[in-house]
Amino acid sequence: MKANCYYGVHDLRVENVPDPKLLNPRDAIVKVTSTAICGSDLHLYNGYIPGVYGGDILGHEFMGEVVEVGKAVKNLHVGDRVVVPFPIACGNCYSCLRNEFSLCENSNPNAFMAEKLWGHSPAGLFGYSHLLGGYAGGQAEYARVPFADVGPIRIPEGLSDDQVLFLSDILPTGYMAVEQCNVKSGDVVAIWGAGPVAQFAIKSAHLLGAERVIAIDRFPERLNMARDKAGAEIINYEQTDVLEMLNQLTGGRGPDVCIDAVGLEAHGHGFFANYDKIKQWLRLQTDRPTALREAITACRTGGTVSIPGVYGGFLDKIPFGAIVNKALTIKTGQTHVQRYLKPLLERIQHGEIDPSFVITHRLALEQAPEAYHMFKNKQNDCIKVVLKPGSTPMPLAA
Amino acid sequence: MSYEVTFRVDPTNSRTRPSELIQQRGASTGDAERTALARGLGWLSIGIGLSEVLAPRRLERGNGMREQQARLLTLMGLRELMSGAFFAVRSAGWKREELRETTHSIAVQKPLDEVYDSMHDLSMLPKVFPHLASVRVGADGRYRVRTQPLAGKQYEWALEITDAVRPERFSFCSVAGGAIEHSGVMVFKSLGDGRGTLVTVQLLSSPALGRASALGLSIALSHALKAGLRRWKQWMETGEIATTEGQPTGHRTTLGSVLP
Repeated sequence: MKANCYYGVHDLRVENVPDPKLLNPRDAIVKVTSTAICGSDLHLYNGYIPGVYGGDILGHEFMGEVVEVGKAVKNLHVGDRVVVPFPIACGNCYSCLRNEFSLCENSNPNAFMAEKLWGHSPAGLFGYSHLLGGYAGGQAEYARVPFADVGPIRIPEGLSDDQVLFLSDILPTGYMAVEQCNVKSGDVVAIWGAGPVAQFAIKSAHLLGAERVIAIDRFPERLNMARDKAGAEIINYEQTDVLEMLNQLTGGRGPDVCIDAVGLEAHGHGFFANYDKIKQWLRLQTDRPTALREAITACRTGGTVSIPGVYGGFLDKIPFGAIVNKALTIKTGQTHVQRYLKPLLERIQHGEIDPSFVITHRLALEQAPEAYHMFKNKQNDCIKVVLKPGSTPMPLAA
Repeated sequence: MSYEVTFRVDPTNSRTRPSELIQQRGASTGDAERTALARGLGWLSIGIGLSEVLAPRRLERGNGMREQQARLLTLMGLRELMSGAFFAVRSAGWKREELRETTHSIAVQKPLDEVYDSMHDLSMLPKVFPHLASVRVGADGRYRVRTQPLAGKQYEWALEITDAVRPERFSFCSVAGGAIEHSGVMVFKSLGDGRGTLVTVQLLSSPALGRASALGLSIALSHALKAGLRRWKQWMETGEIATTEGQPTGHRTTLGSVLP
């Protein structure tokens, strides 16, 4: 089969590799019909996540048709159309029983690696480093799905791939980012970054009763999408002083909920942004917390900072004094996707949300390397790429 | 609520303990003998080092080396002197091989009885310790353990469960004369409140496979024990052991798995 393989920083190749096989009784094999490139895939592409080896197959957002099931999988059948959640979860352990699927205790065969870095290991993820299991990812024609009796959700007739694909990660991620903040009616929610996760966080904030939602970014196409498609007020941080503007909008109090949907490769500008760039370049810090710092500073006293953006290692100059003295609540974590599949599928079915609005590019699987390059450099107004195995290559520019 | 997790292997429960075995073996290879060997090696190093430092050119010619490598030989001599000095000094403090003790615990989301019964069945060992090839139960109730080939050789020993108090604890011990000598105890406690069972294992082992094993083996043993417990938990909770072995990958290179 064809698969998008990692060979080094900015070096991806779509190659022929062996087809996946069932390895455990609870596995299934899925023939991938749609797979997306996630913003967090760029952290791998840019070399900021440790434990990615040459030859690893990338991709954690995918869906397709079940073509083979292990003997312990009773709830899926060959021919079922499913969306696969990106965290791999057993459904039996202490964490899974508490619906904390991304913290599954049993799905990371390399738990000892994660324990060295983080003290304890979270769940294994598809295509996201050997630290998180070393599982082959879904940017391929076929994928092996462990614990297939727990993760994948069957998709009813009448819904297109584009409508449901993002149940695999970014829709639940944007939703959980807001849901875990207990938004109350009248609340102001500010979101750093206006990428696909942020777009869904904006939508979710409206669904969950927020009064005003403010999106902060610097790319016009992303800000326009946040305003026109998701319904946010927008701030371009290159033109406006963000903290000043947020204070003006909230009577000097600050947003009730601040969401960092940017993660470890924040840009920003000014002294701290340059400081972060230099320190990360010198490998004196692993992540650039420019957006996180601003979110903490902007948040109102007693407010909540939610972090769906990915961080991996050690961050410098985090204003912890602000967290303590303003009595902030920090909510974070990889998304417990399995928890949200059913309710969010229902919202899609009822027409409350159509996640396909974030897609800007539909390309062939073979185009993955150029798609990553375009996505990283925000060329052609690229916001979200969906790769369709088996389709004919398309021109990148519209 | 607190749990008693400090414990020792009870001598009255273990018929043959590693400490006894080591004492028996210690009689044949005494401390004095070993210290003398180490000290001798140290002086040999010092001798070689001195000649390299004092007469590098002569050695160069004698060894048939290319010209102008005298400086390199001097450096090698200095290195040799350092390791010689280290040996000579350290050997004075060398003691007989000591017992290694490894303790790990893991929480399993299953009732106490079920966890006890699963772990009491030692024929499960190869499933959770991949470096074991087989465990067979003999007519005498002992478990015959055989490792995967290690440098071409498979090691074997026998294990027996020396006492068992279901579902709280059991002790196990290797039978004298095998390749590896160890004993241990497993203790089980219900964590209550839907939190499953706490399993604590303490393993006492003599340095296996001869004297080559020093710190390295003890770290490897600790790692293997921890990984084995985790796999056992996976097996009990999910009915399978998480793996990626046999999945497709692109072309793997040695360099590619080291460099980012």
